Amino acid sequence: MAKSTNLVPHKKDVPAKAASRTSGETESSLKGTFAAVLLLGGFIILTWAGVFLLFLARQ
Amino acid sequence: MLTNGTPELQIDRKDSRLVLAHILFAFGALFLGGIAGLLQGLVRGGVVKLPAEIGYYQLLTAHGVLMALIFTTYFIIGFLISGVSKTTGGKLLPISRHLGWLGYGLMSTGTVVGTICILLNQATVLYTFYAPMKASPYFYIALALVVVGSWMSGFGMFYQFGYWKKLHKGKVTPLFAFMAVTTMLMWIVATLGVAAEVLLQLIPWSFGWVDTVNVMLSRTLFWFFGHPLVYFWLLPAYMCWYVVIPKIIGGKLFSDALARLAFILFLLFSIPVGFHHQLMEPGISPFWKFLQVILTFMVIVPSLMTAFSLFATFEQAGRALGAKGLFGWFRKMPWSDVRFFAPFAGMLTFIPAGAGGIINASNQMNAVVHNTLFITGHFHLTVATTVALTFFGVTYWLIPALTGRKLTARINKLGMIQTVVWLVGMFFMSGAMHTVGLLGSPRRTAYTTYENHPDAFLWMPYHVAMAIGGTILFIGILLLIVNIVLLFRAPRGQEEFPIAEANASAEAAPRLFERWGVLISLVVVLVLIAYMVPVLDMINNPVPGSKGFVTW
Ligand code: HEM
Ligand SMILES: [Cu+2]
Repeated sequence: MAKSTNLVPHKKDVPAKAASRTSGETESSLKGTFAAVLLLGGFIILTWAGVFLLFLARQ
Repeated sequence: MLTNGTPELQIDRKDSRLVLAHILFAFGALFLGGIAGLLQGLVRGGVVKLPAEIGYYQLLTAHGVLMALIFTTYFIIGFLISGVSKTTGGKLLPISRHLGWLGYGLMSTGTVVGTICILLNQATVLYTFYAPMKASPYFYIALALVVVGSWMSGFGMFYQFGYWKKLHKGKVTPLFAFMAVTTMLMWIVATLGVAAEVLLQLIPWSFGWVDTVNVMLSRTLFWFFGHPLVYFWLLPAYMCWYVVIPKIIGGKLFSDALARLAFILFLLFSIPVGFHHQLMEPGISPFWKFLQVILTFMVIVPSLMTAFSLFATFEQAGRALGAKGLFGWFRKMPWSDVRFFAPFAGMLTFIPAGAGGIINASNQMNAVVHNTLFITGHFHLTVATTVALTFFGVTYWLIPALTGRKLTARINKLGMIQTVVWLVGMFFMSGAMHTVGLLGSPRRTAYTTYENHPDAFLWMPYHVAMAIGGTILFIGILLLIVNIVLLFRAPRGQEEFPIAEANASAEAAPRLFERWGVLISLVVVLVLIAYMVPVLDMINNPVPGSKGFVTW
């Protein structure tokens, strides 16, 4: 029973416009994501540079 | 929902049994490996002394094998089988299920034999079993059985996936199943290297059929496997993050196509990079090391794609719930839901873990950290926190979903506590390992004061911090075991198997992503570019062969 619940409806099975649900500006704004990935990149560069300086200091 | 006493399971009952067998075996290995880990921490911290019958390196072998090879592989195969079954109709084909049980039988035989070899002190070669340390041949045979068993389960998943595709011509495949197939494909290609090492070099040598072994070649074949091994741990955690987490937070998958592309890039770039584990070895020319380091850095691309995609999923879900401001969405996440919190803690840990990985792979910095406890600290963040916490988070819903029970509010709470205990323990243990590693303390070393050398004296407080952190972590394992027992006694009901839908406005995945022949050819081409010349060189101009050594 309840076979259909086991079949995951896949987006591509549905015509694109019928499935479209993005409503307004706010929902699709990715400002925070942008800021978050920049912070992430900054963290990686800082740690990398830290150990590189240690390498140089021990040369 | 159903009240007639037989709650609907999320996947077929027979499949549930297969998955549970894997998951429970995995946690058995975690428990035994945890005992070894606890003792290691206490020994290094100078808190306890082992009785004469137990060697430190014997414990360390047991820990590495049971944690890094057995716990991970069993959990991964169980989780992938469950999701493949779930997303391809809720029921495995008999062939796929039988292959799963065959794989389980082979792997379990291998695990039992291998563990006995370690306990008998016939295989104290650590989980990397580097030649010329020579273990009992049965240890290598046991490892081969584990690998071959995992292939059987992989073939079962491929068969199921192929069948779904045949029935749904022209449709895009379910994302979870696609990711599972990509992961197992990468695993099979990667394990060819270690299979060649074990079958062609180590077993004949260990039986005494040949006298010597080409050490350079054996290490190269090992690391051909060893790096993709870490992606074999990581990709299933990513599957939880991409496919499961968006559903739990009430959002949608940011982009189905982006997720598939990330997995394809992992498939391509996680194999031809093993030399980054051999940067300090003299037998490989700098050019080939350089090339493989470049390819290693290519893996940063899909990793950052994953980070972006997850942030975007969170932000979209949070904003849909009315979040305002730059980071307001962050507060909208279901922080008190262990199904979210544990994997999220894993994600967060992956930020320092990934940064550490880039350091390790950079040639010069590798000279700073190579064979120090920094490395051990690094992979206790990657596999023992990022991956492990994600798997714990999955367990909290997967076991009830498979047994027709509910994750109760109380178990959820206990799960939150267990997650925090793990984080605290790891903060101390891994933090101390990282720091003392940068100060130079070597990994894989029993208690020693280096004849009271002043440098080694400075390391002592960090080794004590490792012992404290390790003890807290072991408490985390005990709590987890208690929670698993409670899950099996939870009230009957229906627990969701969370599978997210794609964002409707996102692009569809290009057809190329399902052209397996093309993808495998690309893998082969990259492997040949990175490995063919140096490996042929190792075979044609071999280093002097080495006889075996028993160092313990
Ligand atoms: C109770 C939790 C744990 C504790 C207390 C612990 C402790 C330790 C310690 C102290 C070492 C380093 C020993 C040395 O280099 O001399 C070690 C090594 C290692 N641990 Fe853990 N660990 C724990 C959990 C895990 C988990 C969950 C995994 C993987 C899933 C893991 C994988 C490893 C591996 C692969 C090694 C390296 C073994 C080697 O160098 O051959 N550990 N662990
Ligand atoms: Cu690696």
